Order: sequence, then structure tokens, then C-alpha cells
Amino acid sequence: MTNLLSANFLRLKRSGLFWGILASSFCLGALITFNYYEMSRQEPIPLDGAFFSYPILACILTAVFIPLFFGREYSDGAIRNKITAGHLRPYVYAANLLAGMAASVLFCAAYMLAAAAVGTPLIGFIVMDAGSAVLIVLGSLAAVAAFCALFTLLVMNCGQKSVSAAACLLGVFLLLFASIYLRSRLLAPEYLGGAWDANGAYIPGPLTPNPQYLDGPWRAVFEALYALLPSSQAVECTSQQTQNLRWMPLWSLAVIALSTASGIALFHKKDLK
Amino acid sequence: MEYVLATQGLSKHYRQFKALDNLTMHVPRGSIYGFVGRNGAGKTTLIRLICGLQAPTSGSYSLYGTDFNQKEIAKIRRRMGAVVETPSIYLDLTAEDNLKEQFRVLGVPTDDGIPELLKLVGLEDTGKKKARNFSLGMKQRLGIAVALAGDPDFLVLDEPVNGLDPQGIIDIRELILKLNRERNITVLISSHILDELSKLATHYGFIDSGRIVKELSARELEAACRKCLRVEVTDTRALARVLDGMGVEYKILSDGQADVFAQLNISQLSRALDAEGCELLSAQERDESLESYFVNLVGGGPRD
Amino acid sequence: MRNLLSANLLRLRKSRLFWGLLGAMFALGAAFTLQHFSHWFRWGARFYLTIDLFTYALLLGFGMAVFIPLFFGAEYSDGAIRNKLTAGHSRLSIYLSHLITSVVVALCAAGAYVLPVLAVGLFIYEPPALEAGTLALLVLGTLVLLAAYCALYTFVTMNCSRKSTAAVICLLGMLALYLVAGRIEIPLMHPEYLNWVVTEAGEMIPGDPNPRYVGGMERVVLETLQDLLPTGQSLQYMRADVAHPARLPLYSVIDVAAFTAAGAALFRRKDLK
Repeated sequence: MTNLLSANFLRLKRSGLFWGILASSFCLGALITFNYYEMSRQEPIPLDGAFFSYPILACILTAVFIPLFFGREYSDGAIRNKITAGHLRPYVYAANLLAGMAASVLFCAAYMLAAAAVGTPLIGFIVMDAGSAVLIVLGSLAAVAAFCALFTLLVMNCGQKSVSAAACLLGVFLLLFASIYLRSRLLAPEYLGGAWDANGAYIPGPLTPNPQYLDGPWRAVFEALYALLPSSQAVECTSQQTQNLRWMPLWSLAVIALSTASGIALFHKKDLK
Repeated sequence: MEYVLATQGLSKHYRQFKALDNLTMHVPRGSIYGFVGRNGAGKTTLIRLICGLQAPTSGSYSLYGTDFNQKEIAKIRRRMGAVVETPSIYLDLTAEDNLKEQFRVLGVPTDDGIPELLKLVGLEDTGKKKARNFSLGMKQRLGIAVALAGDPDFLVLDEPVNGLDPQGIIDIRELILKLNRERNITVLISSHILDELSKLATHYGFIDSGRIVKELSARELEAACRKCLRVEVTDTRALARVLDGMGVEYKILSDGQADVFAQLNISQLSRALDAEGCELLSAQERDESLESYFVNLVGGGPRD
Repeated sequence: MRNLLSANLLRLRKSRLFWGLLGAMFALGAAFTLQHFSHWFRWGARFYLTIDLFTYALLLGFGMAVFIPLFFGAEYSDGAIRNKLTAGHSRLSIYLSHLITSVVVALCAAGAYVLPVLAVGLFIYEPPALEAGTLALLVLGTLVLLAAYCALYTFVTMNCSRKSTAAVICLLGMLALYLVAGRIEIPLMHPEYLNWVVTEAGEMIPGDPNPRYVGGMERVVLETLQDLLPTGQSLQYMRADVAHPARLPLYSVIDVAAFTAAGAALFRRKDLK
């Protein structure tokens, strides 16, 4: 597999797509941080919000990168060279997955570097405690790695680059929207009621049950779904919520294991042209 | 005799369609094996199977005596290079970078062999041009170079002269002959250009409807190909009457030309034609071409 | 051009992508409506028909971003566009036939969405609190908006020979426009006054002015931008909260004209392989 990884990294080095996305990630990190600086001139905001905005972005950039980069092996026929040379299919799959994960980690790193480089002299460094920061970074990398595994499953088993590109992008949007929706339902209060008067004081009013509130088995279902989706982790990291991040990465590992196992099993049987 | 490739009852079905149907063939070591068949006969399917791109539905094949199911087949495949249907090259890389990629895939320690390889296929002057901007012939040559990257003992070429100009066809022919004679590389070539194949192949396999119809060496083919007498006359109807009278097999080619499949006394023929008021303009001995042998073997009926 | 349209419609009939889009829109329409049905059934919650009716205005922004590059991009990847040119059709007629076919697809997909909404919704929803004329304008406006999306994606697809790249550009572009529209909306949503005061005479008079309220020229610019952006219009139609229902279709027509003129001009000059 070292040969396959070596070939992948050589192609990565020469890939305009990779460098383009890396540069975009860096530029977005700088831009978003500068935007935060502008907002912080009206009222003080720490760098944390800008610094940890990358998880959702990284998932989207990965959804662009993996199908276009690895889908090329099908469209150009180069995957045949690897199989004909005797490399076993699980190793071809694993080498692509690992290279994809390495690229995604670099996208995250580029963003963080830019945010730190631009934000620290203007706003100051992040104020969050080191433990929480590490949790968020590790959680976000686990989420991105889980997405890499899902995209690799799709790309390696779908011979058409354009279809897998559209499916990966659409998939990441759907999962992100789904996570945001699930989160809003799980955070919905049990009762609604009351209002605010002219002085800004809260006047309790008659409480009515909130139809958006989840209870009973539905709550358990929503919680399980929310935990399973790698996009949920990305949302939690971007919101800088750490309570769930102690166990969520385990779900990401499960997603990686399951999707890789099924991806390899399907790829093993696939008739290549 | 040692066989580089041997298949036994190899079959491949795609739903209802049988692409290969109980195919048995043998590629001797050191040979240039010409794989001949119509479009859709199963040539590319067989090549895909032996390259490991697809699994057979039933039957088996072995490479250098190693069964395809055995673990050791992976190491054996390192000794193979293939161009399957279209060249397998990265279009956004240059020729040199494509070869570097393949060297990495094969674990070749240095890139020193690349300039020589590019020169061998005539792509030494492509520089920074991306493969996307190559002509069809250049892509084909690069595909062959990639197949040669691992210094293979067994080269599989699926219609290698597709898209090449006449000089390119000659160059590839000479390359294949050189590789076979100097490095003893066994070559399996599938091709439609039978005339070109006849200048190369030491062995032939004729495939039709997923089965090998005939396997024979070039020498056996030469012996099998029928000799005939090509005659040119002023009246083919008169010729037909005369030959029918002699009870001899013939084929009218055009208005004035015919092939006669028998040993004839030219003077006798001339006199007989003269009696019918027909002149014998010329008579020439010919061997049956590979093309006509193939057509006679598989039948010249409509294609599916 | 009739021949080109006929050829496109024939290909459409056999296209799994087209039927998949229709099926997906039908399923989404049914899903949203059933969700409200569940609230209506359990708690007697009441909703207006317009709560889900125009959601297709945003959904198809994403749906057509997938459909158009994959369907028409095949003409480049399969080389079929050469057949049309060799047969003597002009580039403009090829371009327009693709645009018109896309609009037909978008209308069919919108219909597929609305079908379950009306089928179930007519029983459970309250009639919209809008005049018939206004409702008709909103319907017309969304349909012209769909044409604007089609014009944008046709511009990208016809000028980008790579199907997968076109799909990525369209989807990412849609996401970017959606985020921009969402960003523009925020300042526009701040009310002019923080509170309203009831006088002794029982009148409601404005209270404290809202410092976050955007007025004057800035408001005009932001509102124009929001109305010009297809995604800005989508967000307004989704809420059925359209300040200028007569204006929006005109802006969509401007979008269609601009994207089509630019796209056709570029396509005319394009070197085809």
C-alpha cells in the first residue's frame, strides 16, 4: 500500500484542484476572521467564533475535492493501472481514503492558520480553555474524516465522476440541514408563553405546549439520529458546544468503520471497465 | 510448452448476455498472440478478466501457471502490463508525470527509466503538455508507455494501433517485434487490422460469440490458408461455364476477375476459354489472406 | 429549433434523472405537508396554505443545480453536441433549446411538489390571507424565478465542457447565493422601532427607535439586491412575505435576459472539441 499512497501523494502535489481548495480554505479563514474583526469594533467579540467556523466549511470543501480528485481515476481509466499491476482492491480503496483524509486535514489546518494569523494581531487569540479547544479540534477532524469515508464509499462505487460530485455535495447540504433541523427540535422548549413589555421585562403569560417539543420515543429517535450524523458534530464544533463532543467522535469512528467496510465490500465485487 | 496465459472454460455473463462462453485458450511463452474477432466477440471482456478488472462468472484462468484465485497472483500481475480499450492515463498530467505516477504504483525506486521509455514510444518532445491536449495517437502511445513502465514480461494490448497514422502503426509494430525478440516479452494483441496482425503474430486465437473458434500457430495458419489461382478474363460468364464444366471450385470477384481453388493447366484453361470466345488476360498464384481465412472461419453473416 | 426541442424532450422522457427529480419533489411536498398534518391532527394547530406552497422556489434552486449540468453536460461528455452543430443547427438555437427544456423540467418539478401539498393541504390548511390577485402574482413570480435559476445554470453548463465541474460550480454557487441572501436579510429584518406605546387615549404610537434598523439609501440598495438575487426572492416566496410582489417577476426577467445574453455570447465563441 505504500506504493499506492506514494502515487496518490505525488498526484496530490501536482493537483491544481488540491492547491486551489487549500488556497480557498486559507482565504476564507482570513476573510471570515476579518469580518469578525469588523463586527468586534462595535462590540467586543473573541476570535473563537471565527476560528471554529471551519468544520462546516471543511465538510463542503471535502465534498468538492474527493469526487473530483478520485473520480478522475474512473473517468481517465487510471484505476485499471493499479488493479492490473496486482494491487488488491482493499488497498486501492484504503490508499484513496487515507489520501482524502490527509487532504481534508490540510484544508482544516489552512483555515486555522489563516484565522490565527489574521485574527491574533487584530482581535487577540482564542479565549476558550485549552481542553475545550482541543476537544473541538479533534471533534471536527473526526467529523471531517467521517465525511471522507462516506464520500469515498460513494466515489469508489460510482463510476461516474459528475454523478458522485453532485451526490456528495447535495448529500453534505442535506445532512447539514438535517442536523440543524434536528438540533432545533431537540432544543425546543416544552412550553411557549409570555411576552416582553415596553421596558424589556418578561411578563409570563399562559403557557401553551410547544408543538415543536419532542418527548417520549421520538426524542430518543431524534437524539440517536443527531448523534449518528457526522454533520451534527460539525454543527456542534462550529457552535463551540463541547458537552456532546466527549462521545460524539466515537459515533464518527463507527461511521468510518461501517462505511469503509461496506465500501470495500462493494468495490471488491464491482466490474471495472 | 509453458503458457503465460491459460484459460479453462472461462465464462462471463452480464445479466442475460453471455460475453464469454466457455472460452479456452493458451498463450505460449515468448509468442506474439494475435487475438482476432468481430466487434462484440468478447476480446475486450477477456482482457478485462485476465487483468483482474472483473471476476469470471465461471471457469478459470492462470498466469504463469498460477491460478487467478491464489494469493500469489498479485505478485504475478507485477509482470504484466496492459492497455485495455482506451489508454489509462491521467489527462491533467504530462507524459512524464503519468509515467512517474505509474512508477510509484509499481514501486520502481527511481525515475531514471522515464526518458528512455518516452523515447521508445516517440513522446520525448511533449514537455509540459498535458495529456488532455494530446492527439488520439499520442494518448495511445502514452498508454503503451505506461503499460511498459514496470518492465513487464507479458504485455496485453487491446487494439494498440487505434488512431495511429501509418508511420505510427509501423513504429508500434517494430516496437512490439523488438520487445518480443530482444527482451522475450510475450505479447497478446487484439486487433481488427488483420493485415497488420499478420505481420506480427506468431500465434492466433480466433474468437466468435465468446468462444475460441480456432487456435493455431502462424505456421499452421500458413499451411491452412488455401492457395488459389487469380485469373483475369474478358468474360466471367464464359469462365464460369468453363469452370463448371471442369467441376472446379471458384469465386467470381468482379467483372473480369475470379479466384480458382484448384491446380489448373493454364494451356487447357486458355483453350477452353478461347472456344467460348473469351480471352485469358492473366493468371497469378495467391495465398488466402488472413482476412478471408477469418471470414470463412466465423462466417461473413450480419453482425449483431 | 423545434427539432432540437423535440430531441431534448425525447431524451427527457427516457431520463432517470428527470423522473428522479420529479419523484424527489413529490416526496418532499408530501413530507412537509404530512408534518403539518401531524400537528393539525394532534394539537389542532392551524396553518395557512402558503406555509409550504412556495417552498419549491428554494428547493428547485438546488434541484436544478444538479439536474441541468448532469443532463445537458452529457452532451459535452458524450460528444452529442457535435451532432447538432454538424447537422446545421446554430449555436444560439442549441443554447435556447436547452434553456427552454430546463424551464419545462422546472415547471414539471414544481407541479410534482405542489400536487401533494394541495391534495392534503386543501383539507387541513386555512385559505391564504391574500387577495386572489396577489396570490396569482406570487405564483407567476415563482415560475419566472425558476426560469431565472435555469438561465443561470444553463449559462454555467453550456460554457463549461466538464460535466462534473459544472455540477460543482452550480451547487456551490447556489449555496453561496443562498448564504449571501440570508446575510442581506438580517439587517432588513430589524424593525424600525423597538416597541410600541399605548397612549392614554388608547392609540398605539411608535416607541424607541431601533438603532439596528437600516433605512434610507442603504435599505433601498439591500432590498434591490435581495430582489435581484434569485435566492433572495426564494426566501421571500417561502415565507409568502413579499413586500413588492409585482416587482419580483420583473427582476427575474432581468436575470433571465442577462444570464442568457452573456451565456449565449460566450457559447458562440467557445472552441468545441
